[in-house]
Amino acid sequence: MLKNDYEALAKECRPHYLKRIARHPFFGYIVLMILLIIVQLLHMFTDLISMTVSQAINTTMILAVAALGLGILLMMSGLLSLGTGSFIGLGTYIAGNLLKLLDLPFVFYLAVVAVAGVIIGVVVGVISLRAKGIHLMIVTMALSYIMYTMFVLPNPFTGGPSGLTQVPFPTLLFLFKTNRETMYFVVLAVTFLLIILTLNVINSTIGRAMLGMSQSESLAQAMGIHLLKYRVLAFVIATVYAMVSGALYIASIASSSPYTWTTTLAMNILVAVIIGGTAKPVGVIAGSFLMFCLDLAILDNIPFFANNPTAAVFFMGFLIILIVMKYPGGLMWMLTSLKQKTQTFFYMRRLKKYGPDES
Amino acid sequence: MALMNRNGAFKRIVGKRDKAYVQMEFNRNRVIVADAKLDKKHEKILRKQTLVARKRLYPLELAALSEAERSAALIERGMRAFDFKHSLRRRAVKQTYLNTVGKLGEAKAAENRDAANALLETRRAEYENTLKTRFKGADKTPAPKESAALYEQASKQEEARLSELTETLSRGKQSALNSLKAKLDAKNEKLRVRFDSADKQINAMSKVDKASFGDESVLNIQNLKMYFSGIKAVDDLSIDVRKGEIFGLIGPNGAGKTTVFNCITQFYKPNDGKIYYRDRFGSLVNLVDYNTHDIIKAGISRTFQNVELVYFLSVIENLLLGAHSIFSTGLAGQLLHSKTYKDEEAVCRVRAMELLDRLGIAAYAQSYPLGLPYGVLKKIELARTLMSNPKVIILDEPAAGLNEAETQELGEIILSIRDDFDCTVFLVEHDMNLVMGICDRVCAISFGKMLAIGTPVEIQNNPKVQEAYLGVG
Repeated sequence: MLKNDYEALAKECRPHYLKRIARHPFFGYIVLMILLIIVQLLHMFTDLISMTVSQAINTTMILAVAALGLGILLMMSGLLSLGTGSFIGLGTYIAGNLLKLLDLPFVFYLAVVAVAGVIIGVVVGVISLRAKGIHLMIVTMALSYIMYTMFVLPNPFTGGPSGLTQVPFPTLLFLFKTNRETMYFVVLAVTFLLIILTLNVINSTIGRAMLGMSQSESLAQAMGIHLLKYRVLAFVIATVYAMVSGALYIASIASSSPYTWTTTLAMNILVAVIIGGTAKPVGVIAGSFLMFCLDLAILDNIPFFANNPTAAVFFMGFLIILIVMKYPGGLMWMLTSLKQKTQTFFYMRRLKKYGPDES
Repeated sequence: MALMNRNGAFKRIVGKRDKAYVQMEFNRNRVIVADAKLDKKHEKILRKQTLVARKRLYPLELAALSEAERSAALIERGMRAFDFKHSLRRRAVKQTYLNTVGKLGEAKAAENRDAANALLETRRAEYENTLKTRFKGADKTPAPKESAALYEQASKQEEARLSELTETLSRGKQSALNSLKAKLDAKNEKLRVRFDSADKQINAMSKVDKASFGDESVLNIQNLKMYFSGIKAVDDLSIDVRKGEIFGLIGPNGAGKTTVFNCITQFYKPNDGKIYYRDRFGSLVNLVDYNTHDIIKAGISRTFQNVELVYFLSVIENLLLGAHSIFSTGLAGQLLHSKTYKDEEAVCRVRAMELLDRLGIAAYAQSYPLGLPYGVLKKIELARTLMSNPKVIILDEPAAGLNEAETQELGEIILSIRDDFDCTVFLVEHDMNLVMGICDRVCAISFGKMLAIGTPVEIQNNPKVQEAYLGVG
């Protein structure tokens, strides 16, 4: 009778905006950033969150930046490097000396460090990437030891064994002088930008080429992929991320000791990436939080672990062994399988209650 | 050193020409993508405006009815909403009956179901009653004529508005496409100049003996020699592949067939010999001057003996990997996902979907290759070779691992690819039915030496070939 089929039209056109927002690739990362900002605000204005937790999150985000780069190198291109720690160290020294010398916007330091990262990455990459797999690991390990020795040797650039200390905090846009607490937000912003950049790398021709290269070299060559070019590119990306992470470190912690920049740190970051199980930022960040943040931010707040510091180490070790044994594909695999299980659970419940869809 | 320099300059110019060509192709395809995008956008706008019009007209439409009709319409609308809301409950009742019929017995379960249904019915009747009390107009006198006229007028206005909007949109689309076309044509003209100069230089540089290269030939292998520390895998082989034919290379195991392919695609650098090739622009080049990863840019694309797909990428992304050589966006564009890059990827995705559809595997586009049937994997590989606009397709044992029906289908696909994509097919195969069925010419080799070359029937009847395959009788 009535031509009020506009209801049907409305149903069709209804913008499922919440769903659409939730499906956006950046949604999860934005939620994470907002959560971390809330944590820091709670620390700054109330006593709910302690200094240790805020510091732990800050350091984790800084190391997660380096881990993102290593994720691209290891998980996308299949190249193993142990030089991450020393590249972070180099980043801290370059940025730290510049910060002592000049008072400029923070973006400037990041840009200088990134350019230095590109140059060093190309030089080191072109020389060392003729080796592959385990041999590349040995080459980068040797490089790491050389750089460590150079950091420790007394010289004005690195400050010798005592390292760089009392580095001033940078200013933002000539206006705001940052301090230890506000640098946290700068670190978050830079991390977020690099997460987006990583997603772009993964979802572009570069990412596909790297994956193809890591799976089969002959396939990659037949598809027109210049092997050395993409290997060096992956290495440069990893180096730039590590150096930017170093710049963030020196700007928010204000000191840099050469004893931090050893292969142990590189191995920790490597384990974080492997536990994450993917080059995707979600896995890398989950792995970094497990490796660098869990003990300081959560376990230390539990009285038992606070009283027995060794118990925390044992717990972490067992946790990592458990994850690696149960889910060899890493946390990403675990998250995916959990997601699938929940979806199946709800689907089965719905099926049991309402029967199959009528249509 | 002089040779190295010549090769370096040659490669640089070839690279320049390839880049210009890829960009020109992309610019040509860009209009199609822009068209589709605008269509989608305009459809959305129109749908929204239709909705707005309906919303505006609805009260007028109600006002044009008599009171009784109006209340009936409103009650009907309310009941429809009620039924939609309660459809899940009705399903739940049905399912509960099915779940409990085993435990409680037929009679008891049916009783429960009927009780629940009765409850639902009473609720529905109650709601209908409330609606009836709310809308209790019973006056059957028709509404004044003014309101009907008002409705008519308003609906005409809305129709006019919508048709005008459609026209405006289509005009806007046309002008946008025209301006884009003009811009891209201007760009293409510039690229064409660059392309022509590079092409001229390449033709001047190429030292291919034109006399030995027939007008019909695409690939001309002359005295190819490939030794692996004394073992003569390919020994003085000369083959001439003509344009648009399906050329088969057969031979017993270890005859060096795959080595020939690897020499053509520069996975092996031959010890001696020349591999002349007429590229897609008609200039004659020696493939030995090329790098392995530049071969696909010259227009030769290949498959592998064992299926080589990237198992971390979905099927369509595997195809996009095959289109790697026709992406021209620089590093910055890719890192920031610039508009050009997105357009380029859209063009490639459309092409990939077309190819998958053509081979009948479009349903697998978003799934991952691991666990798919072997025949599908082979087809994906075949589709991937076509992504880069090849001129010569090299197939390394395409029928290996396929059953008879699949092999026959593959033969038909290869024939149709040759006809529709205007390319030459060069294949190695053990399956004699396939080779004899589709090949125009066949070359038989044994221990790296040519035994015979000719039509399939000639090869079948050749005593030398029979001897190589079956031994001396």
